[in-house]
Amino acid sequence: MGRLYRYNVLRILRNRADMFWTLLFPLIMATLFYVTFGSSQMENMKPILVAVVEGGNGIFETFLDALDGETLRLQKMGAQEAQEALTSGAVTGIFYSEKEPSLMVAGTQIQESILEMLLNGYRQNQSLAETIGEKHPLGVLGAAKAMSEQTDFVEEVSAGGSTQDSSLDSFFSLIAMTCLFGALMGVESAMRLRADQSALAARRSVTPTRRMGLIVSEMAAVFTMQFAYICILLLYLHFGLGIGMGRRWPLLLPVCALGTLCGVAAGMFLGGTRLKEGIKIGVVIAGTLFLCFLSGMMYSGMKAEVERFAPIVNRLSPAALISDAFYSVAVYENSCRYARSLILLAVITILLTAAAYLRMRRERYDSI
Amino acid sequence: MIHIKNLVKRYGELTALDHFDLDIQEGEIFGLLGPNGSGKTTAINCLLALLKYDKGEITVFGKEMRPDSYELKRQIGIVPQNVAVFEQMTVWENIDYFCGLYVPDKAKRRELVEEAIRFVGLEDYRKMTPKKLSGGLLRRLNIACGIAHRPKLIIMDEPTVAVDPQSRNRILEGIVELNKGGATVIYTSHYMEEVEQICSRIVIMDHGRAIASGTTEELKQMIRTAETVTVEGIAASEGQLQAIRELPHVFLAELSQEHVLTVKCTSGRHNLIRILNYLQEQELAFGRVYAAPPTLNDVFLEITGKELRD
Repeated sequence: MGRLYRYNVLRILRNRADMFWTLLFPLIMATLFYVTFGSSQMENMKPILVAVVEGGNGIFETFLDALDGETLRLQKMGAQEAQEALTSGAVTGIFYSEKEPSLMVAGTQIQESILEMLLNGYRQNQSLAETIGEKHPLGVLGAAKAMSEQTDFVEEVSAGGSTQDSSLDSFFSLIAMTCLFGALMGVESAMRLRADQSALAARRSVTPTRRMGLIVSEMAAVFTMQFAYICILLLYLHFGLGIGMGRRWPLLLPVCALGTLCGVAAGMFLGGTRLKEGIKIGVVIAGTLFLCFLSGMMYSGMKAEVERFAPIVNRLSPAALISDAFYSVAVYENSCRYARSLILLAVITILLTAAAYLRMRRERYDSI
Repeated sequence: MIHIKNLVKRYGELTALDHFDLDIQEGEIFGLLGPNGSGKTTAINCLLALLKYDKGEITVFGKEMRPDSYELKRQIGIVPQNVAVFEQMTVWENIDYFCGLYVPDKAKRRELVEEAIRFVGLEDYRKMTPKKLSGGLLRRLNIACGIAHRPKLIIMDEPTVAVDPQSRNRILEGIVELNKGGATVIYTSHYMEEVEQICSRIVIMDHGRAIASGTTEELKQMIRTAETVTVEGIAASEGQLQAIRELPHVFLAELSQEHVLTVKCTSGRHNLIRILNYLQEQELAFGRVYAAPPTLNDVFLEITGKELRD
C-alpha cells in the first residue's frame, strides 16, 4: 500500500497539467487579485461622492447622514440630475431612498464595492432599524450611527485581527476553488480505477491487489498533493501577499482538508460516470468556477446577494462553506459560524465520499 | 487449465458471445483468431472476470474465476490490446509498479523487473518515459508490465497491433520463449500469419462463436482447398476459364480484373502441371505462376464465406 501511495504521489507530482490547474493557476489568480485590489487599498481613501434621491425612507436617509463626512459625501438630487451626475462621473453612485433602498453604480471598482457593502450592511440590519424607528424615534440617529460604526469596524479592524475588505471574498473563494479543483485529480483517479473507463484501470483490476487498497492509495495520494498545494497557496497569500489569516489560523487547516476531500470525492464520483473525459473535466472547471462565483470570487457582493435570495445555496455550496469558514476564523472569530460551516462541509464530504466509493468499488462491468 | 462452457454475452440486441466454448491445456500457445468485432476481447474480459455475462461458466486452474479470485489472478499476466502504462513514470518505474501489484517483496521484484527489461530489450530505455518511446518500444513495455511477475498464464490481446516488422518479430520470438519457459499463452489476433507461426492450437471466431478449432493442420484439413494455384498476367476467355474449372480436382477458378487467375484445387497430385499444360495447349501467355498450400484465411473464407481481413 505504501509503495502504491508513493508511486501515485510521484505520478501526480510529474503531471504538469494537474499542477497548473491546482497550484499555478490559483497562485496566478491570487497575484492578479492582489494587483487589482491590493494597490487600490493602499491609496488614502477619500470620501466617496454619492447622490441621494429622496424617496421617503427616513431611516435610510438618517443612516446615510451618519456616514456623511469621512466615508461619504452626500449630495441630494432629483432622479434626473443624479443620473446625469453618475453618467458624467461627478458621483460614484446613486442611493435611492425608497421603502426598499437601492443603489445604482456605473462601475465595479473598490469605491462602488464600498457603497454596495454599506447598502448590504443596512439591509442586514433593516428590520432592527425600523423597529427602533417605530418604537424609539429619537434613537434612530444613534442606531444609524451604531450601524455605520459597525460597518467601519468590520471594514477596518476585525476581531480576528485582519483587515476586512471586499477583496477577502475573492481570496477566500480562491482558496475554495483550489480545494474543489481536487476534483480534477479525482476524475483522473476514477478513470484509473474503473475498468470500464481505461485500459490502465482494466489492467489494474485483474491484479491480485485488493480493490480497497487501490482506491485508498489513490485517494490518499490525491488528497496529500492537493492539500500540499493548498498549503503552498495559503503560505503565498499570507507571507507573499500579506493577506491576514487571523490569530486562530490552525483552524483553517481542517477546513482546507475537508474542502480538498470534498473536491476529490466529487471528482471521483463524476469520474466514475460514462461521460467523456473532456466533458468531465469541463464540468469540474465550470462547476467549481460557478460555485466560487456565487461565493464572491469575481464579485464581492455576490455571497450577500445569494444569502438574501437563496440562503440554502450558501448552506449547500462547498465553496461558500469554505469561504465562510475562512471568514469566521480570519475575520469574525465567530466559532459558532465556523463550526456550522465545518459541520455542513463534513456532511457533504461524507456523502460525496460514500457515493464515490460506491462507484469505485464495482468490480465487474456490463461493458468495457 | 481454462474451461469456458456455453458462454453468452449480450449488449442489448447484439450478441457478442454466442454459446462460446473453449478448452485450453497447460503449456499451449493458444490462438484466438477472428476479425475485429468477432468477440475475442469480450471473451478475454469475461475470462478475467471484468465483464458480466448472461450465461455460461468459466473456470481457471480448475476454479471459478471471480473478481475476488486473488489467488488465481496472482498466476495470470495480461497484456492488453491498448497500451496501458503510466505516462508520468519511467520504463523501470512502470514495470516495478505493475510487478509490485503481484510481488510485494522488494528484492525479488528488483530481479524480476531487470529480467523483464532484458527480456523485451529495453535496457537502454530504463529512465525514459513512455512518451519518448517509439510505437514498437511502447508495445514491448506493455508486454514487460504484463509478464514481469512470471505468470503461469499469459493473456495477450493483439499485442502486435501497429508495430513495425522488427518489433513484431521480436515480440513473437519472445512469446515462444515465454512458452518454452513454462507459461501457457492465450494469444488473440486478427493476423493469421502470426497465429499460424506461433500457436499450437487455434480457435477461429466469428460473430461470437467458435466456428472451428484445432491445430493449424487440422483446421486446413477441414476445408476442400488443398492447393491454390495463382497465375499472374493472364488474359483468359470465359470459355477457357470454364475449361479450367472442369479439370480434375479443380473446384474454383476466378480471373480478377488485374488478370490474376486463382485456381483452387482439392487434394490431388500434379494440379499445377495439369493447369500449366492446359494453358500451353491454349497458347495463353502468362507471367508468374505459383502454388501454395491453404492458409487460415482460406479456412475462414470457406467456413464463413468472407475474408478474414474484412
